[in-house]
Amino acid sequence: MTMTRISRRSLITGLGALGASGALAACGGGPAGSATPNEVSFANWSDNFADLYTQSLDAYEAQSGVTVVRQADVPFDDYQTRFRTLLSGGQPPGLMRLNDDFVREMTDKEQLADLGERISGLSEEEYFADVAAFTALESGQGGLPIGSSPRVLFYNKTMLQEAGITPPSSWVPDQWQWDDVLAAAQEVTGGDRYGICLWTDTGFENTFAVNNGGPGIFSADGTSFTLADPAGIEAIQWVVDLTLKHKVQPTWAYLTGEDADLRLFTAGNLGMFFGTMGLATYMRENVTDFEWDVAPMPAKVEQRQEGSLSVFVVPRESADVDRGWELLQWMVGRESGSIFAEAGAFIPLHREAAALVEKTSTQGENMALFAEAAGYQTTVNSTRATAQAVQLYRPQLERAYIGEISVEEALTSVRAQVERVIG
Amino acid sequence: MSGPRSSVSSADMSVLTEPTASAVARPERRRQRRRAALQGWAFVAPLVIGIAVFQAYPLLVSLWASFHSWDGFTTPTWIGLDNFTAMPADELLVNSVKITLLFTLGSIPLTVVLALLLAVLCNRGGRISSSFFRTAYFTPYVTSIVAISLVFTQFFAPEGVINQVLGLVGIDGPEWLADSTFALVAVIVVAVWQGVGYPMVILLSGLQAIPKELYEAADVDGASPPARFLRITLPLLTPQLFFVLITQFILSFQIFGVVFVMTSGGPGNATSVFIYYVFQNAFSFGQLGYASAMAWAMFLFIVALTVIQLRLQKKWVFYA
Repeated sequence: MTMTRISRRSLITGLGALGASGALAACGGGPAGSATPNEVSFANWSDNFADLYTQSLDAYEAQSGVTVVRQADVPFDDYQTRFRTLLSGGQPPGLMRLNDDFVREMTDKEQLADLGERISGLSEEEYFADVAAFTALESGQGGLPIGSSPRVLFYNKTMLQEAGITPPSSWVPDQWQWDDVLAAAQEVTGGDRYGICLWTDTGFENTFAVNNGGPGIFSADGTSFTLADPAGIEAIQWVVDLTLKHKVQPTWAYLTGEDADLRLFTAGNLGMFFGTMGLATYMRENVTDFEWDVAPMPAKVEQRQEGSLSVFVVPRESADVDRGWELLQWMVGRESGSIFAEAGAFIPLHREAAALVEKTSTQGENMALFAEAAGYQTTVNSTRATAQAVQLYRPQLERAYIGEISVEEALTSVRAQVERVIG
Repeated sequence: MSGPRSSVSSADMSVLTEPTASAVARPERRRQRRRAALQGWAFVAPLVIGIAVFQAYPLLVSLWASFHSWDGFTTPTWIGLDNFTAMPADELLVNSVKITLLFTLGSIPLTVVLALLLAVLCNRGGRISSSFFRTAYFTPYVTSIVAISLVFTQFFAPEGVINQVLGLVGIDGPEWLADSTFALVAVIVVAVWQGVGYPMVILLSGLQAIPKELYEAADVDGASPPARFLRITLPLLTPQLFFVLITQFILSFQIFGVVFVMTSGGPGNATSVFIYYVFQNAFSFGQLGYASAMAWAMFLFIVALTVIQLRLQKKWVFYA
């Protein structure tokens, strides 16, 4: 046997060629969107419930024999740009999460598979049809919310009881008006303590505008910026005045700190704050020095809450739309819904699973209120450019939050611009 | 037949008919040259392919996109120069250019003066102390801007370290990142702190290249330290200062990371710099065509100003 001697130069040349071909190969398509017959890919952003998603997907794999190829989760903010590259890159996953702000834009741009016919086969008795209807648009229905995280007022029960205040435990408007909440906040504010915090969760914009009798941030047809209507302006100004006028809410600057409201609350220095159901788990783990509970949103003209929807969609360009749909069906089903409900993560789309939420109360907190809140759900009317609209009006609102201008000045100054992009 | 050719001897004929050693070697040399050329191309191929695929191709696509209305999803539509002509009427774009110019005006003088001061101090120190400070000041430059910005976000919080220190001397610090005036100041401070190391090293190298004899001669002539600095150091440092100014100018127009992490362009649009607005258009608003046009407009603007600076350098840069 003869051996060919390889010169150092030849070896390096070969390695160079290998590197070059490697660089070229790296430009080729990856396995992200491709699906072998027994695979479906899945993309999500990272949140507090990553373990629950893992449980659900593991259970699906065991039940179906299909492998779920899970792309690495990225933080929420990063995902808001990443979804565009996932969809436009040509190889999107079989099932992916999508911020509810973008559902209409992506459906209108025909980026999502139209699952309308398949979804219409789901039983309305088994599922919350009004929540599922969020994704049903004129241009198609590309996915479903697997659940909703209602927003309520979390409150420091010990602090409020000491002040002789007992918030209502059910969604009855006469018991709990905006002025009642303000009075309660004033009662417990003092020293390092603040009575209330509403504005770190941006869901307050729509919730308070709707409860003040307006249509919310956008009109029903998605072409008008109705937050700039009198009802919207008055609602937001009321929230801003909690800080600037009544001094019962921390300043905007303070609240821009990471989880500032949560830290203030768990330290026992905040009476009430506006948050989603998902925070109940955090409360159970972190609140040790006092009792806490949840109360309904205060009423004015309406008493609604904007629940945060966990929407999953099947991209049209996905390698396997059928497998994506099958996985979505699993995630909105009873078994998967139970995983999330039993952990108190959100109210699943499946009614039977949703009933399990009440049993998650471990410290006597009123978890049944979340299920009740789901019946008073309002959603932001979708537009074809919601993200861009938000980027236009929110910077101006920030100026109102810090008292540079009034809410009316802030919202009316950008109304034309916002309506130009959504109109 | 008689003539010159008939006079060629048989020995000479053999030279003509049989290949010489050099003639034999020629094809071999060509082969070797070809092989060497191929090897050379193989060596540079990864880099050339990398540049072509990851830089040249995206640049060309971006140039193409700048003449189209394109959201990344739907079919691009040719709109000629519309993306460019729409820019002057875009209030947010005009605002972002103003903010970027303010940032440039605030950060460049600070960076250059601070870098020069630090370079002079490092140049004067002993070998160990000089190495230590050089490393210390250069470290932020090679540290993740995200990590730095996150830390400074805490420092600039209403009850953060900076306001606590100000409180010690009786100053009630502002709400830095939530105040339209002070948010940009905070961004400039962080950008300068992070970026001062690089120009410092460049200027330090310039200082170390100045011949000692010039200072010795100045000493003999009785020149004071300020005079030595103004008459010797500064003129001989102008090539490095010019380089620093050009690079800092370009970098200041590309500021993004600090703004993205610390303020997201807020409050209001008080820190919405140009590149942040380009990013928003491309990846939040889905206006890839318009964002590309803005990026190319900025490129042309920077090229124009750099050319002007290159022309002006003849008046103040002294090449020894």
